[in-house]
Amino acid sequence: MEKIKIQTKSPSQYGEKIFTRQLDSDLSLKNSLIEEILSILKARSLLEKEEETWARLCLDEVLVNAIVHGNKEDKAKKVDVSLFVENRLWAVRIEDEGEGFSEEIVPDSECDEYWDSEHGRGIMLLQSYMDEIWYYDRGNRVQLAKKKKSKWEKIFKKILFFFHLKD
Amino acid sequence: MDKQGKLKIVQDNDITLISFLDVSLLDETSIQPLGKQLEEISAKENIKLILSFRNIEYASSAVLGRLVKIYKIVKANKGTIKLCNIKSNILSVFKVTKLDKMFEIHPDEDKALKSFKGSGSGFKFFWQK
Repeated sequence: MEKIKIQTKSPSQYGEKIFTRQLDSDLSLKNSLIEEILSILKARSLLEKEEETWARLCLDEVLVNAIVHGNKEDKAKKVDVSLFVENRLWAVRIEDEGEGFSEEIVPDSECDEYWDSEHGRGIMLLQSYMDEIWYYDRGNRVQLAKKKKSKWEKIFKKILFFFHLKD
Repeated sequence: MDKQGKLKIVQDNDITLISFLDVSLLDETSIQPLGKQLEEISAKENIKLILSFRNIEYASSAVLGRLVKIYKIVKANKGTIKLCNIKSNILSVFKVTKLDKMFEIHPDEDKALKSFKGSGSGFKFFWQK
């Protein structure tokens, strides 16, 4: 998997903005927002039942990163979350008030040290499911985007999975 | 607010079987108190530990990190840890993050217990889709 990079440009803005929510940096607030996003995506047929865990994991990952690692759970600092949708795509932007991160701290799954690391698996999950992971500014902003798969892409993926070629 | 979960701990001779009660969603918040308790139990020398995910529908990356920590504590104290009852959606997460190669995973508690007692096959679950 490619190493995570912090981009110098802002990401593309997709489709219609559904909302922007501002959260205090409090972990107990994240799950209701995740539920709200998942409900909107399901209502718009942008999320299949079997994808729900993965979408939840990715939203959870970026929200925890923003609240815990970005804003250090300082409740005076806010996290802005925006949801965008198109016919066959959804995207979220998460922005915290933290100092960003260094690309060097993300463990490389190909290295032996990875096996002992208690961190970094969240990034692998993002890379596995999302079509776009766009960190920008100083790394305190990220846009995730996911395209809805066509019927043929889904069939092809199932065939690959069946033959254990997914990885 | 998420409900506070608990650990159910059952001792079967020298085997410790742990499962989660009153929680189905394990994330950064819900794993904190449970993870601490699990780490204390894992530090027992030569422990034979089975961790069952029977009621768990979701586990975030914070939980995966905690599992790696528990694995290291068990190994450092010459113990053995096996996982079981992992739902397919979580198992696919284990596969992507390569935790399926770190842990011995069994389909259910019975098979995990048997593998400790010597009558089970002890093979990994990842191929049993």
